Amino acid sequence: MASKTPRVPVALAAGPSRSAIVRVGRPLRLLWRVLRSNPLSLVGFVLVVLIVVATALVYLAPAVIGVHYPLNQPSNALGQPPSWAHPFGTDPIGIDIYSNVMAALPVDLSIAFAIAVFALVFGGLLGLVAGFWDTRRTLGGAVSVVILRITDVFLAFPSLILALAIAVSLGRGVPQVIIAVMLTWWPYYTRLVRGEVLSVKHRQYVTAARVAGVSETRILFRHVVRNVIEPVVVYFTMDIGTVIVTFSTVVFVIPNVISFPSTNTSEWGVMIQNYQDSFSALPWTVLAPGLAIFLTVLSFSLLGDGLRDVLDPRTRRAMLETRRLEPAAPVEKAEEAESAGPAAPVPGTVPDVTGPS
Amino acid sequence: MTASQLAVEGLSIDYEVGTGRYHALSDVSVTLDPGRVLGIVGETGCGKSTLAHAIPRILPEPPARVVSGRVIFQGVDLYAVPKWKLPLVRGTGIGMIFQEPLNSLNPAFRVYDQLAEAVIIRQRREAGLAPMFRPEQENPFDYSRHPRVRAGEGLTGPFVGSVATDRARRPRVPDSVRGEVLEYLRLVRISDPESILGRFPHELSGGMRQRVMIAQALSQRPSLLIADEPTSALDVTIQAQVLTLMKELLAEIRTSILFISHDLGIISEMADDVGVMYAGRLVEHGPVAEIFGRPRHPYTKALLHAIPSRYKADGDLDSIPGSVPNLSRLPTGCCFHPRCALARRECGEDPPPALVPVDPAPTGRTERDPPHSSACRFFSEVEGLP
Repeated sequence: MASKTPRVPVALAAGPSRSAIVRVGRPLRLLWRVLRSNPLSLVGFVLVVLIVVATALVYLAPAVIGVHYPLNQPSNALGQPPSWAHPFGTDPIGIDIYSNVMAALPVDLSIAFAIAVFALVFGGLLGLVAGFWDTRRTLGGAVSVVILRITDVFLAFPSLILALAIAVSLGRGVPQVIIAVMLTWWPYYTRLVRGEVLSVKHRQYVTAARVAGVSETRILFRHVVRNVIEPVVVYFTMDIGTVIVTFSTVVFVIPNVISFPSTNTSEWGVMIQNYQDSFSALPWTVLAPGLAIFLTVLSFSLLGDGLRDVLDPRTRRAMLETRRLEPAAPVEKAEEAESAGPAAPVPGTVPDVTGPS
Repeated sequence: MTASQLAVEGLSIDYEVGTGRYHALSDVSVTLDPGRVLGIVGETGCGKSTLAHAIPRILPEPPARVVSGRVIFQGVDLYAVPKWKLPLVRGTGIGMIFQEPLNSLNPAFRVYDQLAEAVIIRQRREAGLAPMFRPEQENPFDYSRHPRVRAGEGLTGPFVGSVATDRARRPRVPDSVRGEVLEYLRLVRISDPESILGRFPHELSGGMRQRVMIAQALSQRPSLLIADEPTSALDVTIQAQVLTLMKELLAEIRTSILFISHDLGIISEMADDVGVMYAGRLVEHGPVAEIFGRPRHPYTKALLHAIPSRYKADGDLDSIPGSVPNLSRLPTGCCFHPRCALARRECGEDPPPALVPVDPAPTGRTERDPPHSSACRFFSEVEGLP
């Protein structure tokens, strides 16, 4: 390696304020390496990208991908099987299923994100508090006991049944169903985050930060959260699919719980519910939205798996190491490798092979 | 300066685990003057680490419970101040090096971030941007230089220095942080500090991690440094390096050190004074030369005797007969009497003896040296033991 090569990653040379920006590039490069080494997560990643692109197209240029408004426009093609003109066929009065399925994509995705983000933030914060301040006979301990008993109440019920019950009692409307699922969704995040916090907060490095004079809140939000966030993000990604399934199920099970005033909106659960009577005669009317749900769930689950590997610094390092072992790294490539990952061994130092104990 | 840096007075700590109650510390009193090194030795489980963690109050409570006693740091009883003020004492006041270097660095942060956090905490306190512990003042937890106080806003309780308030008025991190981080890495003899700034802890060797830990503790320039078996996880060559380093650092940063180890050799190298602990009690205390030269407690004598010697190649290694008592069922009387060669009837019946000064001061003892004291009734007979 050229001796003038700075051994510090560029990010650090500029001081911590700029490093945050520069560091964003590194995970992206790592993401690519991980995706290449794990084909299934690559499939998930590609599917998620496709879903996002399709969502954008439905909004920006529906005609390009063959979505025609209004969605409930009858035509002469009554109950036709899939064809080039109607990729997912038509229903008994000639409405195009494909347009409906595609138009439901942004609706279902945004609903799922809204629910999952709420659960993540609300449930996650409660989990942080309940995990970090759980000493008995203190104010924090009392608060965390209350939080945990409330989550127990929610977890004791099957969440789908509970969501159905809440949705029924709240009445008709999209916001009502969203709120119903939200209310049943956060306890899982509370439990997950609390468990992770409990395992992290007694680690020596938390004590070390404490004895270095870091305040408790800062320890929680900087040192603990950073070590808890990985499994939570993975769970969140996989959870998107589950939320879609649950939301669609609620909508499917309760007749007419949501109806869209606009003729330009549709939802998969609503579609399945509307067409369930025609399933035996015209199976594509139900299979198409079902397949859409299936693919969305699958792609987010696969992506979540891949993310797990990207986010953990140790597996990340292992991947970089195995890649470096393949060919003998040419000298001129060393610089690139170094800027790509923190694990690149610096000449003159012995790479440490001891794992974390 | 007459006041001692640290005074632990009659500290007793129990662990309440399940049904048992373990007396980890029983009536321990030590003092430490500025610029001195106090070594604490003892077998595993004698309460050394509990003492180390109790001083900056980082013992998890529960299971730990302070039964009695005080920890007075620069004139302030740390067990009397509210918990949320403790971060102000830690770091710049009391620093600590831990037993397991492998777990003491946050695996998610790069070396730079770990050190920068410590440096920034100190810089902000020195600059008056964060509240700081000021023992010389009437109210040692002084907020008077804090910008919000100067602006007449007042401070609202425990949220001082929290994430939200920090972020709101965090000054631009001065370039000096990076410089200081590098400076302290060089101080711990890391030859090319820039190369490890961007690394994660798991990418460093054990010795390197230990040095980063030491650099982190030192970079806050604590007035009291607690080293809890800082070298026990290292192999002998690195151990020697780290110890040499710490001795050199003593000269560079004037600080008092509480050095905890089970290794008598290290203690004799490092310490000015020595406290010998057994079953949660301090059994002997005094200047290092007197403790090692003329021990006045049978346990100390036995401990010194048990050091393997390379000049004595024949026969078995010496050990102390019996084993350390269970801390939940301490023997009555002197804790050491079941294993003691000098034990008599009253040792097992009378309450455990307190530390009492032994012999008149030998020549060569300076004014700063503490008196040599022992918790044995028959300390005068210890010399006659094999």
